[in-house]
Amino acid sequence: MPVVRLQSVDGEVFPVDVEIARMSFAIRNMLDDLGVQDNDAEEVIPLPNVTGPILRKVIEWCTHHKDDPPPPEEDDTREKRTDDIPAWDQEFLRVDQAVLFDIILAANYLDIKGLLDVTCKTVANMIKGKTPEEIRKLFNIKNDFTPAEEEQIRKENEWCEEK
Amino acid sequence: AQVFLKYFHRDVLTDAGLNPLRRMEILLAADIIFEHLKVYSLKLGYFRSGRQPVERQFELAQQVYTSGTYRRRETEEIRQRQQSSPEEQTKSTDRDYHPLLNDCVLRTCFKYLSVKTVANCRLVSKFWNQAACSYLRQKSVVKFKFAEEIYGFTNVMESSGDSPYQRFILHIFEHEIEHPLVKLLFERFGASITSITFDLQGNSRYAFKAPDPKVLKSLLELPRIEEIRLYGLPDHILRESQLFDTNSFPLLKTFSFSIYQDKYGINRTNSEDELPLVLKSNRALIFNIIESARNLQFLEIGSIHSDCASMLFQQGYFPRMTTFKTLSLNVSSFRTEFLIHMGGSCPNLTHLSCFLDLTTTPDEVYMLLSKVPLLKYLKLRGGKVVADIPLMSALKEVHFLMVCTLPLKTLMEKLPEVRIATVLLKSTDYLVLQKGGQDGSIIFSNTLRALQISLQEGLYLTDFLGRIKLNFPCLSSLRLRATSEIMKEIFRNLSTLEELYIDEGSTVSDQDITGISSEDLYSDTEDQDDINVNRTGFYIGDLKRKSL
Repeated sequence: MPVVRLQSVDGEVFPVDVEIARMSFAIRNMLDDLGVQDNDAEEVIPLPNVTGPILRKVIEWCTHHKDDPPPPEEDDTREKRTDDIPAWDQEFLRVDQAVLFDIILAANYLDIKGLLDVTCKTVANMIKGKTPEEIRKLFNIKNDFTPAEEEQIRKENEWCEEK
Repeated sequence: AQVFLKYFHRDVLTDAGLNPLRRMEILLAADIIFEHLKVYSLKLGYFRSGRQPVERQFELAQQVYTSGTYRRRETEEIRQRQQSSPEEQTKSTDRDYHPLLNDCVLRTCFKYLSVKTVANCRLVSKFWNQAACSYLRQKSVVKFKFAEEIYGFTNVMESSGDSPYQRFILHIFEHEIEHPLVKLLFERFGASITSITFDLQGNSRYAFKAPDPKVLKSLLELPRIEEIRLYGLPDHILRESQLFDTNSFPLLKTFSFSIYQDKYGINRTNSEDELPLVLKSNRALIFNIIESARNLQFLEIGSIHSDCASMLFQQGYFPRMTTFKTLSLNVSSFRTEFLIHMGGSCPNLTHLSCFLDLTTTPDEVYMLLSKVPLLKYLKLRGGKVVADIPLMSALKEVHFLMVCTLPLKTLMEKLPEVRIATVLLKSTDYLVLQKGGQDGSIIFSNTLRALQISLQEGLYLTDFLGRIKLNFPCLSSLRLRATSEIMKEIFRNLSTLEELYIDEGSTVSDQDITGISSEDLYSDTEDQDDINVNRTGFYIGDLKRKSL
């Protein structure tokens, strides 16, 4: 199996199977564009937005999911389910909030749709059914609205309906 | 950045669907981004796949930038804040977003929430409000059931800073198009409106006066409009409005309308002499729409006369519509030569829904399908047979609501990626998934999620159900006509099933569905409390949670 080397921002280098690395569309495009051949194993791909520990997690996820069928394409009519996170992924994502968000950002930057979906679903589940105050508490966010501004938004929200 | 810029050029320039001006715009924009933002990668894969319109791809590219380098921006901000005085610190609160959730990630998370929940997220903080608003502008809609309701809306929005609403559905009386409040709505929000639906159908039977075409025109001349749906509006009003004669709608992507020949007793087309005239003017109307909306992707025409449709697509007359992605034509029946011409005119079609003429031959269907290789959704109704189809690897959803003389095995081989299939099979013989003898291979699909089979129950159905789990491991929705025997077979074999539709004409007794609580049973009929499973079709949801 051909291998590519991925380098995190803190200089750590991870040798990864090409097929696994190609689950990231960003890396896939880079490899295709650079015309990297199998024998270019010394080629190092720098990933300036991902730290070593997070890259390790991302590679772990990709390795576990390497045989998954390609995720379905974006489709507005598709049901927005969030209760279908596989057990392995649930366990995998049982991490600090900060790590979870770092994985999301890495998945977003590396363009790994499956990982981005499952992590965003996890966050969506955290938001579901909570009041704004509970969400603020959960994510440690400061309320920067005046009571009048809040009242205005509440009134506006009454008109909001699903497309 | 150099490497990617080259890449950028190559792909944009080879995208045949783009006009030169748009290409220029993109290249200029790309240069600006690269020059000022020192961005490492611009998610260019989207360009190459050509799946999404370019404007959207570009948005995505900007989002990637936002997320990719947010850290640096943020640390700089923290540093600045630490250096600044306490007064300045309080001033910067409107830019004070949560360090771990940037707007791009937030919007991705919103995709999994209902719009009501997203609306609720607006209240979290100003930063969340911005992200939620930009999401709601695309995904939410404001519906008015009466023109009077607009008053309350404009009142509330009077003191709004940044409106999250750009899409409106007006479910009003036809004559209310001239209502002062409708005028007010368009005056106040016209500059930002991206989607308008006039749903006049429900009220049309009470309509006594046609709306003024001039008023319609003045309302719909909107600078940012992307979607117009006119349900129940007489076609002659649209023609007389000359909306598309004088305006161009470069952003319009969706247009939907119906052709009514005979509303208000005027414009009667009963006489033979008048018909060609009306057909001609409607053809001119559709031609005008296509001419003035150069980026139209979705065109839906209800009740179009088949002669008119045929004339439209005659070779040499209909322009080559490379932007067209969706075409939904509700025609009583289609002349087949029209279908072939249409396929040639719209080579990038991804969605197609239409009725077929009874005289359509299998070869003609084959011809049509071979001309639209990118098709993802196909719904063919009427017609007699589908005997062969080309290999359609892009097809995700197929509905052959006609007699299909193809074995399911052949069908699945031709549609390797299909996720949802409705097939009206001619004979149960066609269900055989595994043949003995020389052709011992089995058909397997790990993409198929929903299957509907319409045929009389027969010898092979139970045998088929016995194999279905092995052959279609991802199947979660099944619809068929059942007997007690078949129900037993389903519950024995299909643990992955989440939805089960039992069609009308089934012979299923109450005992067959014991263990399923009535709240998970749904009937298509109005009276949900009393489901007579012997007579009517019904639907069982949430099967996954049952232990069967």
